[in-house]
Amino acid sequence: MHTHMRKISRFDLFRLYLRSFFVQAGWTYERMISLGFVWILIPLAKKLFSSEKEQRDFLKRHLLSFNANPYLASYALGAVTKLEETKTPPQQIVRFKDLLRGPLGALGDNLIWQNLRPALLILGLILTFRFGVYGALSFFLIFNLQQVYLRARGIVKGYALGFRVSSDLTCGYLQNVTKWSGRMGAVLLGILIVLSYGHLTQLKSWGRSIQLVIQPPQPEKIVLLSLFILLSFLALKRNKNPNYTLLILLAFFLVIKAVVGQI
Amino acid sequence: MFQELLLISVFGGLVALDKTEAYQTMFSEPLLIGTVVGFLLGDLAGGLTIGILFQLAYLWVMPMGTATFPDPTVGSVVGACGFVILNRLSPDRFHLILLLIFLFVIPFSFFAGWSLIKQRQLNFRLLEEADLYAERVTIKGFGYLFFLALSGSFLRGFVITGTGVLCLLIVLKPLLGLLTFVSELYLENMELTIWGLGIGIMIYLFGRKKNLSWCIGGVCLGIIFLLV
Repeated sequence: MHTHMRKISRFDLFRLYLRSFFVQAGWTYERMISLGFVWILIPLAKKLFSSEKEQRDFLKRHLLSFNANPYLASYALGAVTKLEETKTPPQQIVRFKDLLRGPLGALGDNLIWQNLRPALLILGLILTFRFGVYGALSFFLIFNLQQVYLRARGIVKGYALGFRVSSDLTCGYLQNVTKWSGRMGAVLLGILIVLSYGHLTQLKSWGRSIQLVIQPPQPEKIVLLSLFILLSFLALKRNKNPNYTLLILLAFFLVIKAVVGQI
Repeated sequence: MFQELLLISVFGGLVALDKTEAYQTMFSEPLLIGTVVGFLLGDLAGGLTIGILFQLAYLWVMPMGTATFPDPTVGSVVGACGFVILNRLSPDRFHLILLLIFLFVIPFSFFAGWSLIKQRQLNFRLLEEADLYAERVTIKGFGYLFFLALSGSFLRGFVITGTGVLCLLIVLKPLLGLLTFVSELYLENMELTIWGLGIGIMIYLFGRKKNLSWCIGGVCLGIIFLLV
């Protein structure tokens, strides 16, 4: 364990936090988020290192290839700040960042892109049907409350734990948010399916308003919607591009209309 | 018209920043894009309507890792803007406008995605500069590179949105006049395809075996909502 004078103040961590919102600036295929990562750490270079050689080495080692989910990159930022403050050997810092890449990418993608974002979007859609523009705004608000907290937690935990930051990544919080987002998504999916079938006849009134009025269900539409859902699901299962799937569905719809007539 | 175009282009630039370079607050999701475009052009209901449909169609886009993807964000800004303007001109051609907008936006999103790949390749030049600044310990230079990176992303969104909206209006406005023989009745309920795709994507994402009981619970809740 290193003994050291604390050089990083709370204000420094706050600056780091604010800058962490720009971690993907200058993203490249060669070294991914490294440019944004260095830019965030620039205040540290000035504060922690006085000699030009130390600053040069600092900038060079953080310009090496690095990637993470943007919402969880703050864990790496907090931990690296701690390690740089405690004068950890540079090779260990580089190795540590390499080891952190995988977990930060995989956990973040699973949490944000595969669970939280789609679940909150379904919630936003359901609320939009009920409350109009407030539904869309509620998605924005809820998602951002979560991301603002997640980034702050990353900086604080990363700085507090240093090398042991992975213990927080595998702890209950992130796992629980992922698990409950998945469950919430499933519940909301159930609600949305029922509402879709229940309000099927209102889709045509969207041009004027998004208000929903209950009308008697029409079997042809129910059959058609079920068919489109099934075809889309099967196409996705076979890794077909959803854009092409939509074009095929549109063509299919036009053919059905031409053959069967009014639906 | 020029003011509206400028406003929408600036919004396109901000949306491009949000999706890939900065803050990632998700206001680049089509649902919010439609809302904002509708608000800016004075037709909130129309913007919200097209926003919902774009959201359903593009729910699958997840910018994970280095994956290449179509860029539905700038595409949605262009599509929502075109929809609101054309709907204002021909309010009785809702379904035809919707069909044309989707047929325009799908390839346009691929073009926008291609421009994003090019921009990221150009960023490599900034990285080379950064290596030089690091060698010379020119710390201030990193702020300049950061500014250039954000400006590049904003400009990409700004230019592509502006030209996209102009192209859309140039192509679709006369086409709308030519397609008067296409009956609205023929295209009625076309949204079911987008709706079907959206729910198909959701089932793909959340319809796992372990979530089945939660999904059934949701169906029960939905029935209660419907009855109440």
